[in-house]
Amino acid sequence: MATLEVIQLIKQYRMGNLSVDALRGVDLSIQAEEFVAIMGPSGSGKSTLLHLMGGLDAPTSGEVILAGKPLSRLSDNELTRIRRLKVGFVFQFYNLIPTLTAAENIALPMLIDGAPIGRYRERLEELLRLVGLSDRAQHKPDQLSGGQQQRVAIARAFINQPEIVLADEPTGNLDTRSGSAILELLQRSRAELGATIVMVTHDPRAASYAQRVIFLRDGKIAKTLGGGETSLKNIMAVMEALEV
Amino acid sequence: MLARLPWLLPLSLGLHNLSNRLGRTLLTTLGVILGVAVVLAVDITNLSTLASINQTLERAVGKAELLVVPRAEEETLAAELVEWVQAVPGVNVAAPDVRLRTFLANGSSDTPARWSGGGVQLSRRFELHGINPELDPLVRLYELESGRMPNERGYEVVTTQKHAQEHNLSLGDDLLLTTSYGVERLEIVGLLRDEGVAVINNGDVGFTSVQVAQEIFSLGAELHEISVQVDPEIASQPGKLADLKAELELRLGEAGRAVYPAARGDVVPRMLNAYQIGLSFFSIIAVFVGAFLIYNTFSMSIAERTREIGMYRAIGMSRLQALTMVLLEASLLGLIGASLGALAGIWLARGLLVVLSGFLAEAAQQILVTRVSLLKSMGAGIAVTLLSALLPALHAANISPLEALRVQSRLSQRVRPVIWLAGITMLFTGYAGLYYIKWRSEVRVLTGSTSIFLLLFGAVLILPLLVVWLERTSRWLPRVVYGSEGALGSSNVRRSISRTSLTIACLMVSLVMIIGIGTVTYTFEADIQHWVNSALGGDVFVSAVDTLPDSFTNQLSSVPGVAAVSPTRYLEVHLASASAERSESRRDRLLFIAIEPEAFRRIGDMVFTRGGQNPQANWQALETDRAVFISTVVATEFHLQTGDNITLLTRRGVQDFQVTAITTDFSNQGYVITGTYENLRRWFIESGVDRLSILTTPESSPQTVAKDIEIRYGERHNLDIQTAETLKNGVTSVMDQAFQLFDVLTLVGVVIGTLGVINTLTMNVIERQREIGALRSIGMTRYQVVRMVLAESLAMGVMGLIYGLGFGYLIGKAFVFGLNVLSSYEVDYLFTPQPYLVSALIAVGVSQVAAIAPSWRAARLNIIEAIQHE
Repeated sequence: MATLEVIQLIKQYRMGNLSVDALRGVDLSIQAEEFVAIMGPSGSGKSTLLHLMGGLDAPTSGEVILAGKPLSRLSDNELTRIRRLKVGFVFQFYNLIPTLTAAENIALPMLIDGAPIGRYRERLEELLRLVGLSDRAQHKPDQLSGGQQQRVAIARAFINQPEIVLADEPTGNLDTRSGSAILELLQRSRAELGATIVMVTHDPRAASYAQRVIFLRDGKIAKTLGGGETSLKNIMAVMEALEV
Repeated sequence: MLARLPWLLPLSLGLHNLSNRLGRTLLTTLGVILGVAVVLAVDITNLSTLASINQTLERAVGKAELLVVPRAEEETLAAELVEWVQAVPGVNVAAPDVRLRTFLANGSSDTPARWSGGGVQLSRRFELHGINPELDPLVRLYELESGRMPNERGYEVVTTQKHAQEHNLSLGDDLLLTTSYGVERLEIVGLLRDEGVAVINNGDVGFTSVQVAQEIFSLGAELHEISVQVDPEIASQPGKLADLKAELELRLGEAGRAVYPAARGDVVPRMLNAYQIGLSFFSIIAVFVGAFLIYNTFSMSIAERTREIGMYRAIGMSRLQALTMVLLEASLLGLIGASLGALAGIWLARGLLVVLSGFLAEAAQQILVTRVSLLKSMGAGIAVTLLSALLPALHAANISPLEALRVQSRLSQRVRPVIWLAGITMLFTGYAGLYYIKWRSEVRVLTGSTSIFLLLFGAVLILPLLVVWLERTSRWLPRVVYGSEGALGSSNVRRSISRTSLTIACLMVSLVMIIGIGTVTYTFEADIQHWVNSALGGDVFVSAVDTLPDSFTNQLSSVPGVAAVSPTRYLEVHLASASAERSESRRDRLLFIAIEPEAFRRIGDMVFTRGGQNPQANWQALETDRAVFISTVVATEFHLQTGDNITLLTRRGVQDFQVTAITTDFSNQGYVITGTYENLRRWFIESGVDRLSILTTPESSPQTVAKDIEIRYGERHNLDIQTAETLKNGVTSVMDQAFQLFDVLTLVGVVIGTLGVINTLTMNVIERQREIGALRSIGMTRYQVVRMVLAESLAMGVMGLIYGLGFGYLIGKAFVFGLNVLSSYEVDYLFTPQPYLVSALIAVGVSQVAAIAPSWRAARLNIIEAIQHE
């Protein structure tokens, strides 16, 4: 069974008197433990798609089914709960809380859920180890480098053992070396934690870490690469063909 | 337009910012409005009250340039002096006046006591003037609302409309006056508007002819005063007027004295002095808090626009342009705020004057707005706005273009040492200025206010050092109340130490005002109550219209239920020049209170101060010849200590009286000395009783005894009889009224403090939009966001409370100390938990109410917009 299903998703925005079609009927299915990258030029609708998949926004029509639940039928509180327990987010700008330590930032979804520390202490230590920040657990964000901050953000995304992790340009704010480390971490997390990851990116090198690459153009899926086709060379070729 | 006039760029950008951030613009403007309004209102109140009092004096004493009065208060003038004075060259009109204080038989007033001149006036009496109905309107202002002036021989009276309304009287009714020989009826033939002579004795006044007044009070052909109007040419030249006064003095000899009319009113400005000091001080504090608010708003506005200004700098805006942009914004807001503040100030002044009229005998007749007051307050508003904006403007000028590229704003944890060092220096200077340096009396008000100001400012400047500690100390409460959101919210206050410090400072100053005023009120009230309980003692108090014979004390002692009676005689005495010259205000008269020490001590006791801790020895010393107790006010005014001599004019010539103890006494504004009846008889050749304190037996009720005395002697001796309960309630009631004024100003402080918290929280929410968006995206509900912001506000409220309580305690003590120095009363500091509890409620309440709008705003944030927010 698919972890996430997107059915005929349409999203229109109004900009003054104009109606802008961000997504024009997208169908998509993400399988468990899959690592999917979404690529496309600016304005192609990739971030909109990610927001809709995470329940951050509501579609104009169509449906997103996450863990068997159609998101459009859920109330705001139910959506919040889904985000807290079933989804993990990784943002381009990390969005860590500067007054909290790395460990506290990672544990934040659990704190928000009111879970006692006993319930997640082991998981927290495991994640700190996984992201290589055991020795930086008590550091505040401004005492960490960009790459380290993003690793904290990734660990935070995994703390609740989510059904799916949605990453929006996770390497967009990092240098190549830190970016590669983050992508390797995402790959390793998928393998070790059995997670499903969907990543939006501009970067073909980042996309090459995924098992499947979906190309969006003008709000529609223009091409999909999968089954061992996600090499950098193939991705570059598709980009060139699609003028992405 | 901008292409042609590039120098307009900063103005254009500034205007753009003001209109785009309308909420912040309104908050800043409101801060300026409140600051300006308070300064102007206080100025107007001071000026209007003083002008009104001067006007009152002028109208009441009238157009008379000189007064002829008896040599001593107890004496009278011979009626033939009127013609004699009239005959002196240069005198135009000589109008006689007989002045008597009595009680009304129409029913006594509900208010037995009145606040007067920083002291307590224990009974409310009616003042009857006997005048020449033809001559008096030439020297004083009579504004008849209805009716006419009394006839020369008729038993008629004009009274004030105010008095008539209070006692349900109208034209044609009789005014019943108690005299030594019973009740006299005077027909009301005229009612006066609340102007001119109608403001004498706060409207409890009536005017009849001299002859009638003399008849009903059996004065014979005696007068109390002659108002003298002189030639306009002499009146306009002080030198000539002084010559005429000297001429009159010379001719009068022992028959009387010539004085300037103001002599009778010298107590009034002094009486207002304490209020003026208080008002002025609080206006400074209000400006201080207002300045915080403005600084807070501007610095936040700069913080919020750091990237934007960085971008301007990156594309070529100079530092000067950035500075100009912020200062232009400030000027514009200052101007708008100051103009609106001027209007609000006039409105606030009306309220303050209404409050003032409740406890001052002379209410302000009109609001006096001078150009100077307007310019001063508006100038202060604009200057404070510009100064408050200067630091943020400099900060804006120093923003690096790199800020435009920065992804995330950095935590601002650094506290510049120069700031907290300045704070510590101010604290020490303020403390030393208040407690250790002896200032000359003429600068004491200024130095006292400055010292307290320095203490407050110092407290604000060292706050950044304490924020982390305060947060650690108080974080448990938000956690307990709001759970994990509480922990998150509480930690948020450490993000920007300077911003949190400013908000806590706003709250702290508000709380300090509440605690300071509460402490002074409580201490002063408790001391007056203590004095009322001790010095007045007794269960029933009896006052007589005329001095009663000594034997009346024995008569009262025989009334059933009376356990003890203590007689008192009041006599105004003159100081010999040797003592009078020691007074900085050249005061030369005091109230001599004669008591029988033994009887007095059976009922009450004196409140001794300044080392006079051995009451037994003090009382023994008073029994010796020419020994007196003096009040703390007299001791301070005349620089006297125990063992010194005070020189008085007695009927047996100039005599030295030894000060054997110093007491706290609130009667007659504290200008009292206490001696024995023996000294009264020997040196002043006086006797009799003006007031009696009665102790009832345990089995009888004071009400019954009072009633019994009323039946037996009330009408015969025209007595005013009150139980202790009525009197004390009256004292409490006037005290409460007296301090209402400061409550109004405290409220202004609380409003400003609330605005400060709203401002900070709104800014925190705006600045953290992306973060709040992220929290929402990872599963925080709207409700949890609301709780987090409320917790953050609660944390600031509790921090402000802890700091405010500590400093409020210190400032409360400083206020009491200042009160002692400025009023000369010796009031002991007393702790009361009430203002602290009120402060706690206000701090928590303000923090939560102020957080409602920002938390709502945070909860409503659109997640996607928020996470994309830069």
